[in-house]
Amino acid sequence: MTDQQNNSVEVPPQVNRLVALIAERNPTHAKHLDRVMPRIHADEYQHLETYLEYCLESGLELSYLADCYLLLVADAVNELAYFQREGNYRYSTFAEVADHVYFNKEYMDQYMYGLAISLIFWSSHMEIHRYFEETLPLDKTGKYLEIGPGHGRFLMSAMERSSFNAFVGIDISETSIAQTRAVLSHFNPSPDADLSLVVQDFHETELPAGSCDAVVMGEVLEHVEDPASFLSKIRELAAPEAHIFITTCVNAPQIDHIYLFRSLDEVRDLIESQGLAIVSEKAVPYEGKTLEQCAKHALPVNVAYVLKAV
Amino acid sequence: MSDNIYSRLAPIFEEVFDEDDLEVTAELTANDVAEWDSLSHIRLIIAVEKEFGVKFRTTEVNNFRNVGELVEMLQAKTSA
Repeated sequence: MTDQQNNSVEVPPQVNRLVALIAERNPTHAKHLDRVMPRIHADEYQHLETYLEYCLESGLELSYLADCYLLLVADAVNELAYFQREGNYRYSTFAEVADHVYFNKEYMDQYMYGLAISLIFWSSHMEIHRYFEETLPLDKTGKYLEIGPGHGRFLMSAMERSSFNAFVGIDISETSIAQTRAVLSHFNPSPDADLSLVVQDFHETELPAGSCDAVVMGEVLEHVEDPASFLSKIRELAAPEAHIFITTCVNAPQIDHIYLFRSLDEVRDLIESQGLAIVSEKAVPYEGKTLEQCAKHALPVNVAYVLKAV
Repeated sequence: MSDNIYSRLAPIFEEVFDEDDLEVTAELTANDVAEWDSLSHIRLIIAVEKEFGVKFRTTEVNNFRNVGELVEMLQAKTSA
């Protein structure tokens, strides 16, 4: 694969070098990038470029970052094979994944960097992030809570674009909070904002009931044994008229996915069982497939919801 | 015997890649089929495993360069 040019957007230099490294090490995945890259917007490329420059300034190398991304791809492919054979995710309890993922700093670092890069190179992640930004209320004030900020991208977008005054991020992984903190400290998206990042089990938060004007939880439900309890807790913390945004996935195996949603209806039913109503939904099928094909062959679907408490 | 393998592979390829007129030959590679990506590759392998009652190791799954080499592996596994 040579320099990737689409008709109207030039790929920035560090992104170009990263893509070349990825393509060299995984030619099959290069085909995927060929399909996806023409659809990436200029500002998305620029954001990744800035992120890569930040990583390089922090002492990381593009080679390492390419390997982080390819580790994510390889894990996804291996788990996909397991799922297609067995019809279930490999693991189903938090204990099975905790030690080798969340509390394994070396792995988590790689996982978070890989996920950050996948935000534009996996079209499902890209479309979900765009939907997050499209639906984020820009004039609403008050407290914004994010559960599981991970690589920090959603939280950064909220801090850059919204009018919320206070931002809280809660994550069970110390590595994840450290990365979020470092990225936000570097990019400083909202210098005057009140920001609090906490390593904590979300269920143990001392935030008062009804105190959050926005609650965001991206890609958490499939990582926990009891997703209903997370939705219930969100319902409890949401202020009246709060903006609630969650994302999850269906038939989407990954190294640390333990709760298997087999259909969009299953997700919808769970949401509505916990006192939340769906305001809007964005379902994104696997690259190159339709939702019908995904349902027929149990292929991955990523989905995002804007919710309200009822 | 290999003719029989190719005739059994053809409907699998059609189903996995959603192409009715795909000619399954020994020279066929992933580069020749637009839909042949990581996901399709996995689905292809699993469908082949089920059809022929065999199991591929990870190294075998990732290392065959064309359909001809896949057929050679199948011949070895089904005659063993």
